[in-house]
Amino acid sequence: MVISLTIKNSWIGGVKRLAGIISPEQWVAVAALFLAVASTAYSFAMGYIISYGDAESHLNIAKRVVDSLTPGFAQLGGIWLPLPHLLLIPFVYSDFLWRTGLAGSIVSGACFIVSAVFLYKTVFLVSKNRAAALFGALVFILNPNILYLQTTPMSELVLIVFFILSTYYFIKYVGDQSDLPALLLAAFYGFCATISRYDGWFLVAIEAVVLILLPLAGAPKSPGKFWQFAKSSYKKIEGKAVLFSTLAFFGIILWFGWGWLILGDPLYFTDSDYSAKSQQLAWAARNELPGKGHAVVSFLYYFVTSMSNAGVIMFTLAIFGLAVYLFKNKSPGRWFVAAVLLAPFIFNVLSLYLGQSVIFIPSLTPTSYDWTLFNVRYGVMMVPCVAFCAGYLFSQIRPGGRSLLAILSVLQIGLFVVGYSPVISMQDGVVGLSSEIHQVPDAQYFVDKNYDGGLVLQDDFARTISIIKSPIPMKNTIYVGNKPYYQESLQEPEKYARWIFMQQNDEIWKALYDDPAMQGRLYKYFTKVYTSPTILIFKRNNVPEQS
Amino acid sequence: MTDNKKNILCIAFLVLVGAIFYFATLKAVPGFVDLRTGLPNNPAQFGGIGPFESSHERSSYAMVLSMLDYHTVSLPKPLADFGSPDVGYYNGKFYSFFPPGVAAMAYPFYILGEHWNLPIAFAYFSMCIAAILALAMLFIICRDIFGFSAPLSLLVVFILGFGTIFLNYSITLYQHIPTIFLMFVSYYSVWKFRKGGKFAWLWAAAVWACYGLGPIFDYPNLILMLPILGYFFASAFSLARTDDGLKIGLRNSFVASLVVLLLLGVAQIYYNRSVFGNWRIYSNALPRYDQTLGSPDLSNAATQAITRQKESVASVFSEKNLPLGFYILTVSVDKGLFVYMPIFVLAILGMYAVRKKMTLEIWTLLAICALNLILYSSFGDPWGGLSYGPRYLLPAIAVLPVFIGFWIQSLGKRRLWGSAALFALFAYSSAVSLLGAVTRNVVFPKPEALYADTSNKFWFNARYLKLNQSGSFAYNEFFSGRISLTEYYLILFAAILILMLALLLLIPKYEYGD
Repeated sequence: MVISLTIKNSWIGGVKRLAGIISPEQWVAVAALFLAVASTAYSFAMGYIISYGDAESHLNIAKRVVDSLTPGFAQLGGIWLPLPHLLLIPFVYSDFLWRTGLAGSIVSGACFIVSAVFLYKTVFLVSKNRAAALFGALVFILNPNILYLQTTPMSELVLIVFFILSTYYFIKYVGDQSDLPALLLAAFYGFCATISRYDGWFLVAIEAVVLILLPLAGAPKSPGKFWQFAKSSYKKIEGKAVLFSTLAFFGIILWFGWGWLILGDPLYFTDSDYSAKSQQLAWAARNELPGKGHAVVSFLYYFVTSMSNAGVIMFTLAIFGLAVYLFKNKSPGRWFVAAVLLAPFIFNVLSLYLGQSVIFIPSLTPTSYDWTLFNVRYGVMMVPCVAFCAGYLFSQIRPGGRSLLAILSVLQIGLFVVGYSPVISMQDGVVGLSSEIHQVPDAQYFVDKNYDGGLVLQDDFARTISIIKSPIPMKNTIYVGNKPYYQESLQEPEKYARWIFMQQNDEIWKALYDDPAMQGRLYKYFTKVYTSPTILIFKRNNVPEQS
Repeated sequence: MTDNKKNILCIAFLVLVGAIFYFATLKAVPGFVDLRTGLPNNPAQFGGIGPFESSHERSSYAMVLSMLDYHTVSLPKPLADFGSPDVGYYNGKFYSFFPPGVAAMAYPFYILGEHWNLPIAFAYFSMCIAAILALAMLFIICRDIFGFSAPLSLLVVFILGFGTIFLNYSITLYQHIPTIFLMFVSYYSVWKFRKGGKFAWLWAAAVWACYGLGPIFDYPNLILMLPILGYFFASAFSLARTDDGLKIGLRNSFVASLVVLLLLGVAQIYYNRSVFGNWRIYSNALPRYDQTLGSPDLSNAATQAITRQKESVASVFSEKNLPLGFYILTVSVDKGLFVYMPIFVLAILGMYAVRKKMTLEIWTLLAICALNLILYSSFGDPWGGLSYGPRYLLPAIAVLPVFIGFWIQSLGKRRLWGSAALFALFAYSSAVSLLGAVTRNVVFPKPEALYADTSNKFWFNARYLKLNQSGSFAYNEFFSGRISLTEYYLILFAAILILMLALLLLIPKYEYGD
């Protein structure tokens, strides 16, 4: 005896007709758009859009290009790569979009939608299965870490979209090595990736190596014939390598040139005091750089970080998917495709090993460290690869297994919802070391209440006061990039500034407060209007209010 | 001989062997331990070697005594001290942290044992009975569901019963063995239900009954048994294309028998309400009473209980614990599955061997293993206190031998080497388990071992062999003056190996037709 329910053919036909109104890619775009808007609304309501300290910095860099004491492209600086900021520029014209961070949400959200569509196309390209492609895209767009980061001005989604676009066209080329337009597009998007985040440099390097090795995959096995084949293919390989590299590596050359022309050092991005390398030295001095020089620890750190971002169930499925792709699929280019997909993994493990980067994650970082949550968002770079592998796995199993995959995916979402799997990239922004909103200094409230116009001198790197959250217009700030205002102010503080914000041991504190002579000068022209153990605020004496 | 007769004979053999070995290692002492008048006279016996090595056993045993003397599950102060720190407090009363299932099982045996002045031995033997029943169930599962030959089924059962820490927890008062028994019964019942027939509704009721009884022994059983419920649902659910459309069906007996679960759920709610005055309170979530830290503030216990209960769901099982927990439970020297029972390497090979013959039944077993491993790897204390081996993985340990069975079936011409490897790994695993069983079922986790300045390795227990210190009731009562503990250990070990060897010699005839 069975209790039964019949879904009538007319109903099924109706659903099919509805689904056929637009193409699957368009459905993916619609779903991604809906989720992007909904999650942005959530972040906006919770005040999480600019929770990362870096989020504000990205917005400020873009804003300074169009609205500062010394506007212009030189404001892009020489540490962070410029494309995410260039994309923000049209939106930060609006003070509302800049101050709320929605300018970043628009850029990251657009990248998210395009990423979802091209992830769908990538899985379809390899599996030739629409349901699997849809599954892969869903794994990506339903990932809460991705959903959160696409609401912020952080640069991860910008890199992800160019990573996916470049990978899609590269896989297309791997499938048909006569498809030169695909190779050129892969190079172009690779170029975009190289000026988005440094991870992009590694991506194009891997693609270039694959490009050289790819024709050799079909070479005869015996050594004599192999070399003969390699010699005969040399010209073709050389041509394609030059064609690809000229465009793909152009961004890297541009960046060296930029550093040389604007900042006087082509390696400014790695040598300067503000570089990641300099910051890692501080961690190393505290003996809190766990991955440096330890390959296994570096591997474990990034493995666990990417697993936490993708979700433990999806990550496990992806490992199976990758194994199926590599060992069941017989296409000659599969190892090369896997190398490109895994480029973020290799890059991050190498960065940790070389001490160029640091990640703290509660499951691995010793509790004796000052912080146990930092930079875990680097793990989201593996979400596209996880989505691809999960999608591929979906294409290779029987209908019963597909139902199981669907159930496991729902279970994964459930684990995020009940808190078993934390939305770790959001957590880092909200309470981790990367967070700016975790401990808003009392001085911020003082400025909000008492700022009454005039130029403000502060060390932007120290992030003493959030400009974006204060009533201070960007053009009223003096920071290190405003030559000669900033440099002159460190000699004659009274020359431009009406307000001086300084934090213990920041550049301004060292220049104006630690030096007794300069301190005398400071007190001659300024009055200390706010004091806390680490932050001091000075206001110019008897100067008419400037507009 | 018919299959039925063969099965009966094998089960009788299992009962006999199980009874002998479990009695030989049973943790007990003769006579009464009167805690009702205060702390025991011989503290070395409590927390030392014997039936009360860990607070886990003491806490459940204290509940038996309280049920007997005070007709309540709350513990008077001396019993709370005895069970501490696995004791909580609420509304001015003390309670064991554990649900009442184990104590309720031991209770009638305790009364029976009183007639022969052996209440502890009888109470503890209730777990041996559950263990033997679980082994019999596994035998039936191997025979009926997987079609293993009788010797192979016996071998699978033998691996579980005498080559894993299943042995260590069959001779003392823990919740794991009844849990495994319920799992096996429910799993088999689903299979019977799936086959249909006029008694299908009865099998369905048995599944719900097992699931409903699960939390009476251990609360996480509600989660650990989910794969079996999934298997149950998949067996009741149907999807078919008809001329009219898509027909979705659910068997009546699945829905109707749900009443059994509802009744057990109501009973659980009634129990919580009558004991704690609040149906939502469960003993695991009570604030801990640790007698070494002095008397607790009983006045705010209610608030603490609610807070802890809310915390426990969200934070006790968390993904952030996963890497450490996974390491501890699989390869760490203190509790690692493959360190205590390397025979399970063969189970991994068995999973590979069976990959092309996957059925819903095999998927369910895999899901039980995966869920068990993930759940307890995510637990804040994956060590399981002072347990001997990864006791939290016992549900997975119980089903993994089936995969060794598949591996043996797949051996083909490599059977000689395979059997040798199996024998060697079994010998190691069995030696480790037996060591804990005849000495002390306690190994300190690394953090506590450092604090207590002791070892976190199981082989540290070998020193008890030299010192002739055993927790075994049989050894202490009947053999201690005649043979050394080392000799006793070696005799038992040799007997286990001989039986294993005999089974290995029988298998080729039945599995490969040699």
